[in-house]
Amino acid sequence: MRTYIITGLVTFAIGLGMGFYTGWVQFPVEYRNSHMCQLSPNYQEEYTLMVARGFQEDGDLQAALERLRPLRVEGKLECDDGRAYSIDNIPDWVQRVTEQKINQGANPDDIRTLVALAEAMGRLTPVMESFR
Amino acid sequence: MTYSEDELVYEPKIDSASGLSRRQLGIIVIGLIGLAAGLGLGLLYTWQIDPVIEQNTRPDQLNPVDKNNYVIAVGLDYGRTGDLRRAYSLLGEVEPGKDPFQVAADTVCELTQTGQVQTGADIEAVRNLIAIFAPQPDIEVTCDVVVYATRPPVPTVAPIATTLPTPTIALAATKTPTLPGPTPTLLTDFGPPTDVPSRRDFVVSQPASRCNSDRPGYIMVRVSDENGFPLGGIPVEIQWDDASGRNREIFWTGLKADLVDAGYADFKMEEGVTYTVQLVDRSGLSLEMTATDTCSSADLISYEVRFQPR
Repeated sequence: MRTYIITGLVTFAIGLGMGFYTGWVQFPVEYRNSHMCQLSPNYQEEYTLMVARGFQEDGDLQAALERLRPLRVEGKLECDDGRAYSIDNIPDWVQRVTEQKINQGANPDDIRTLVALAEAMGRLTPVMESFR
Repeated sequence: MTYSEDELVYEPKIDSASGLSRRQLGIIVIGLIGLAAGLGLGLLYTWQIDPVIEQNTRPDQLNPVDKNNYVIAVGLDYGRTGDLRRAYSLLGEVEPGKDPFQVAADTVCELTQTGQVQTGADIEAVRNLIAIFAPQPDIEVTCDVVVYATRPPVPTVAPIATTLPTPTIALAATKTPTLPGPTPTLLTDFGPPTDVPSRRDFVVSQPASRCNSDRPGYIMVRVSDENGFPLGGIPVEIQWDDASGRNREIFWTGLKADLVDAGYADFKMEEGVTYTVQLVDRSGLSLEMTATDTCSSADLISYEVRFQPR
């Protein structure tokens, strides 16, 4: 009887381990219907740059703000994914992305595009001055 | 000599092809059951109870509304950069496996059919998207995008040099200075002209109040030509005062062509606010319209304003 119990427990533990590995590592849950705030930071930056280009074209700050608004976390539980910076304030986010691009030595045209939007939002900082 | 409990159990050999004893068979069965139970519980826990926190979400995982936002942004990007290859690549990330140009076309149709194209910036974004997919073959467009096509899909600026008529020089026996040669002027082809009477003055009708339970609190604008045919793509300016001062917004006729007709546009009023409308550079201001709940159903009143050429 003890052999049966031990066998059952050991194989159960092995199965549990396989289940954890499969569910968390090999085949984790594939999410659908996600929010903008859950986008990978790279895509969020790309999206911000695209909106900034639209702003350069039409000069409509209100429209740019509206387009960036979906990036905000706004208390959505799904957006609490443990990342270091969560977007709560759009001008602050634009300033952050712009300064990040400057620090990374990104394409100067991209930086100028972002600086124009940051400036329109009242977020022109000294490091951005040379890209105006 | 002491024996364990298992050793005291009598296990007759099973006379079978496998040659396994009943005990060994039991161990295998219990092992399999344990493995299956562990695996099942592990998957239940990792997929349902505590799944991995979603990170590094891609555009194709977004909800439909945010996918549209992303596609609009691609249109804005294209409008600025004119980089079709980049637009193609970005659109491809929204619906992998689908023709990226078709993604742009479908998004435009969805936006226009659901009335999400409201502001001038929206229209510009839609035009940019149209410019992406319109020149492409085999793209199925399930909506009418002509109303936005006041600019050609791809801005082909082809200057055509024409000459002014040669100045006639009076034949006279006197010496006259030679006139400079013909001055070439550049005509730029901006595509087919829209069917809009340009710079023609429009007359604004007196706002007619309506109690419309389906659309309470709207200013419904109708613009037509002298024959009464609806005119789409006309910018309508609305003005109102609130705590922040004087406000103005421009919206276009034709964005709800599917619902009413191409000359129709509407604007949702806020209760208690007084509005005036006019056609941008084409008409005078309408009389004031105040959003009040004077309808019997306690709905806000709606107004209809008509503009027609003089």
